[in-house]
Amino acid sequence: MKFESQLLKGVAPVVVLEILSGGQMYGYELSQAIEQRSGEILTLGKGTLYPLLYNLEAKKLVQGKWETAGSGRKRRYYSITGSGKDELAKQKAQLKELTTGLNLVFGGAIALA
Amino acid sequence: MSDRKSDSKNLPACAVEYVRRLLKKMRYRRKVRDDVEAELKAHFEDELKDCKSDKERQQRARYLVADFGDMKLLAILLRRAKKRCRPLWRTVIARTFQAIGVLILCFIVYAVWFSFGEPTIRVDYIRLLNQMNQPQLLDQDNAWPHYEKAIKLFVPQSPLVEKVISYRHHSGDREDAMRLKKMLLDNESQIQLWFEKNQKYWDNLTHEQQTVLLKCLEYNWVPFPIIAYQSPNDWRTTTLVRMTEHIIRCIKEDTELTTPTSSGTLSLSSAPEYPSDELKRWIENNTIPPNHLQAVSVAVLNEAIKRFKNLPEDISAPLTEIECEYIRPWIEQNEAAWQQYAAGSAKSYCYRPYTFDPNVQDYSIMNILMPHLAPLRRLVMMSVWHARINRDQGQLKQSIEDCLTIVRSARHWQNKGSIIEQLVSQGISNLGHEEILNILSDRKLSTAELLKLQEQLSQIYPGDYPLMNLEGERLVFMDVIQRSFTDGGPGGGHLIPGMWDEYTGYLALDSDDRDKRIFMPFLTAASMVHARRDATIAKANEIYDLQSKTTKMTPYERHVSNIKAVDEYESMHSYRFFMIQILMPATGRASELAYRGKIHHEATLTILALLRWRQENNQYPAALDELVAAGLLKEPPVDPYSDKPLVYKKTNGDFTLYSVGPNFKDDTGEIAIKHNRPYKWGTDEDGDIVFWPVAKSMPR
Repeated sequence: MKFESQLLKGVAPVVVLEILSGGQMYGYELSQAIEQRSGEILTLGKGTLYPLLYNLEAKKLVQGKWETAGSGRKRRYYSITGSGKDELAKQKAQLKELTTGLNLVFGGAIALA
Repeated sequence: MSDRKSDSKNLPACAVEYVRRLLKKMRYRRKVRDDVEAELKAHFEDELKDCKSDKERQQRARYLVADFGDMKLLAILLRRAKKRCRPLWRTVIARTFQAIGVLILCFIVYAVWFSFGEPTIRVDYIRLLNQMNQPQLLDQDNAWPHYEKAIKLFVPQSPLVEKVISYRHHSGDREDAMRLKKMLLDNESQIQLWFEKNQKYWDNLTHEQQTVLLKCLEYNWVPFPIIAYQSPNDWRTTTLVRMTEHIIRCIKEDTELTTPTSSGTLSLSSAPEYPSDELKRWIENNTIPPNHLQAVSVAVLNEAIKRFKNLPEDISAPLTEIECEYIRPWIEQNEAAWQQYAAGSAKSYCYRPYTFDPNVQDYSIMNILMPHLAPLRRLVMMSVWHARINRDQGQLKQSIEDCLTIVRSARHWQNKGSIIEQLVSQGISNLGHEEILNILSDRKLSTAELLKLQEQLSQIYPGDYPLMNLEGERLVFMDVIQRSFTDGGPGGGHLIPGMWDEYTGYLALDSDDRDKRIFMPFLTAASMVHARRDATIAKANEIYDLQSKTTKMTPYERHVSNIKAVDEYESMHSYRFFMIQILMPATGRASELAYRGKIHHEATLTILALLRWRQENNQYPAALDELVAAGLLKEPPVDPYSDKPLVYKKTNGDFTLYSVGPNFKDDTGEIAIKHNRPYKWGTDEDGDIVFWPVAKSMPR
């Protein structure tokens, strides 16, 4: 599904943090995980994913480091930091509030798991 | 990193090319780009790992490339994101370098703007200077037209005459002459024997060869051939003095005459009339006389005997016949110049307008103020010898008149115009007075002659003896500032780097010279730290005001007031006012020189009065006050180095008259000797200025 870019831009960092809160991943894994976990509703263009990761890294919300993957290849793994977890909690609370508001407006048609 | 790169070697070409171009557009540090490259290629690897065939890999890769989106936008986003990732210290360094770069750029723009400023000429200071100097008198009373004619008519002395003159005047040449005189006298008999053996070599030369070699000696350079491969192939030269010493040394040690040590090549001695061409022809035609060295040595020794053997120890002694023989023709050649010079000196004033040709791109102080000074100085030197020749030919009256002419001409440049002109006039005045004292010391004048001379001399300066006047110099300085600074702009005008040297001639850079390009950045930097125009003018005026006061103080007054001869402006911030430091004359020293002229004049008048007293009373007075009481002297001369009367002491049938000199201490009438040379005006450490008795010889 195609979303308005501003809409996706707003939630993409939260989505990435949420996925990473389950364990460290490298870029490809992350993009696959987003698609799977969102039932392929959310797809993050590759041109968006890496700048987003670097920005989160700059804000110290995630941390990247090179490691050897199971295939024996070097991959850059990203993991959520303490600050990232705090930020995720904050953003999730805000989204919950937003969903509540939106539900009231749309008559309970929107729910956040 | 190499491991990470190796992962991507099987990627399809379109993916590799995409990543390569993306990273190129990213334009960031290599290490970061390598990191991003590895990560993106790993991503491609992972995306393509399930593809079964190359074709599928290619298609999938193309799809992924499209999914990455606009390459340029992605490159920008990556760059920004990675920049945010860098540590603070790296950001600080980057920003610092950026700031420095911006500052350098601004500075370059400023320097270019700075270098191309133009001065605004508002005031014609040269006209003001001329107005200041031009008296309201008739043109026919102006000495300058006569001096100008005299300068044009002046015939310069030959190098030979110049040397003969300097054996009396120039301390270095005089020392050489006295040393050679002693060597010649000490080895007289051996030299005579040597002549007997070697004269034949000279006699064997042709007349033409003798003429060429004698011509060489006139220029004081002795030529000798350099032998290479058993034949002469070039000339070397040495000075007459060194050659003479070399020959006498060989004679004294009874060794074979050898080639002397060379002092230079023909080009070194190549005055226009030096017979270099003839000497070169001798080499080309292989006609160098046999035994050239012996032949030329005969001529050199003869010339040395002629010049030095009878040279008197007493510097003021009558001229020898040989000196007269050399100098008299030169004086006779200058009779017309002398007549004009004497006519000029009799005039009541001298006005020479300063001129500046705006078409000539060389405005230096020297060019405006000084072109007449060097010729004038040569005229004065000729006049001194005019007086000496007259004195030694028995024409004492004429000789005295010549001396008075010199002093009168000095008066024309005193107390006006530039300092350099005033200093030259002091020098001229001193020469005139010195010659008068020499005459008084050697010849007996009658009471009437002494009276007349005293009257004539005092009439030259009917008022006070003129001291230094700085007003002309101030105008010149203001003109240089006007031409070296911009008129407006921030801070009231700045020093223009290329202009200040042009107008001051300080570095004497040729405008086409690469030196100028090399120096320009330094000049620009120096100009930037220099005070602005308004501040420079204010400082210069402040210093001139102060110095106008201090130049009227005697050296003694300055000494007790602790105003050093090295002037106070030298202690100010030199980097802000270096132009003042460079251009402002040392007025403290100049003022001292004027006081020396004053006391020299007053001492000469006093000596004349003392000699008159002696003739009337058969003895000298007990004190100078007696001369005043007897009406022979207006007032006792005040020593500017003590602010008391000059020291006067009666001695055995004679007297001593001296100033305590620049060390402000009475050294009992002894002159300072430094490095075996006399300092007749004393030094800061020791020595008095002795006016009488007149010094007769060079201390050994």
